Amino acid sequence: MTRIEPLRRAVPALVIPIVLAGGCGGTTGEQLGVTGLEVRGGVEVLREVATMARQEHPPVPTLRVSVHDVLDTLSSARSDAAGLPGARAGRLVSLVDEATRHGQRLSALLGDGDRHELRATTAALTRLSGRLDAMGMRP
Amino acid sequence: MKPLLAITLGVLSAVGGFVDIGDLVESGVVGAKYGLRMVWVVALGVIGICVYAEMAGRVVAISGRPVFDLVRERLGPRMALANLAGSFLVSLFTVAAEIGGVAMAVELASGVDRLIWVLPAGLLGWLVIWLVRFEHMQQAFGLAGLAVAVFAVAMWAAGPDWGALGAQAVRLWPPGDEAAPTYFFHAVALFASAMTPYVVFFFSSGGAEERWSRKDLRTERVNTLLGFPLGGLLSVGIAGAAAVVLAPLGVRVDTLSQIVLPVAVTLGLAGVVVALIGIFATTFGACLETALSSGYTLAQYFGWSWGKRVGPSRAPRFHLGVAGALLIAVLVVQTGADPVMLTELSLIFSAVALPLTYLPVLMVANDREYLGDKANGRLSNSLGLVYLIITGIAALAAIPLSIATGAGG
Repeated sequence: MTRIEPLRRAVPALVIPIVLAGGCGGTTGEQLGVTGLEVRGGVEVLREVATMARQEHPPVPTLRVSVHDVLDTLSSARSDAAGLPGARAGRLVSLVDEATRHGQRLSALLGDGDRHELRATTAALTRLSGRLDAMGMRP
Repeated sequence: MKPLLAITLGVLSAVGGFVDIGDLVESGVVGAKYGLRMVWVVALGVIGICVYAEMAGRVVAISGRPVFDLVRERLGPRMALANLAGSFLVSLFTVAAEIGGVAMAVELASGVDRLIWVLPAGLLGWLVIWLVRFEHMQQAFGLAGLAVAVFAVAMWAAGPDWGALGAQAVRLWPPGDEAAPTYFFHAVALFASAMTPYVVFFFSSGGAEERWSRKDLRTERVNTLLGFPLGGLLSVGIAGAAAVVLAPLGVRVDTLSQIVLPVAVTLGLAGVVVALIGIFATTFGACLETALSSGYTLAQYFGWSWGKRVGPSRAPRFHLGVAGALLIAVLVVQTGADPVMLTELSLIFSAVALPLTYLPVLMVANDREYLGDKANGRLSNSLGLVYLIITGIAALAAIPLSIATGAGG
């Protein structure tokens, strides 16, 4: 019994601080930063998809799933950002809404091959990415 | 020519067979997050699986019986039950993750929701296990799995800064702005993906199915010691593609579509087709292996008649075990559970079960009663012991790190 006593003490001493550290989460600013980076990553994926969609033979089903996955991510990021206080969080929510609109438009354009509209979507997503940069949401 | 062909096929099958949904997901995640800073973890895991797979292969080649069969006899039913519980549950979880991976690969190819493909994937798995010969099954999916090398091609095609990648590869610590617990969570998950417990049970039971004997020892060693390290390179290729294309964009990987994105960006439609063939082959092949492993462990513990070569009428409980594992996995994935999250969970449970799996292998491989002059030597024992300590640390750290980081989030 005495032999395992040090182990009994050591394990909780190691585990409890880690669990508590995990449970505490971050500050509002940190949470906003994490959510913003998620949104920024999603916008970048949409931008890549819009670029690839202009190729002669784009992998349409794969791109469609990619856009769908990004829309899921944006939806959950919007809920996270909407739960945070402050004007920056509000601004992020409106950027997420804009990204979602572009994502939905992109999904509709895939396979139709309207290069002009795809180019316009890429440009809009590039501008959105720049606005996220300006908010400090950059990798 | 025939032995050379057997070795070539065996090595190539091991290369393709090394990668499964755990390697695909975790390599993509860490590549996008940390670049090549976790190459050391892949190397650590590959050496570990080589050490223990070699032992397991030797046990079956000399004794003619798979490891799990001997574990019960050597360590008694109680200890073997702990081993069974850990390995069986992890295998079940892994079957579910692999079926999820198959469904996601088909979704990416067809654009049709993955939930439609879950039941067909399970049924196809059951049919292949039932109808296809063991060696054909292994070779076909192992060889097709080599297609995931397209990720390494994508990395090369992206024109990376090789010097920067090299500098990342020799670093052992996270970048300054990354939290250490998250880094170590992913290190544990990546390590567990290389040393997944089912591999050893499948490898040793497969050896028994193929009736390995003393004369197959050399082939078995070459397959293990060449195939697994080359398979590890495929994992590094996946991480490298994500590091070069996704990391600079700040894309965090949490779906299979993002893992395929670097290939789509650099190689276009042709690259995506090859990548999806590779992902389908690796996940489907691993689904068959894990389902069979579930049946093997159950049958070997309870002393039932077992084997893919033995028909369902002569080994009904074994075949029922395999079919049951597939059915449970299908039901789990069909609930809509996120396959990537399932994969992360299966890796964490794998990490917890690692010592339970590998300690009995080490003990059996040391038993001269079974192995005679082919029992472990000093090198095998030293490496085995070192890895037992490493797996022990990974097992202790897995759950606290998972809770602390919200599963690496």
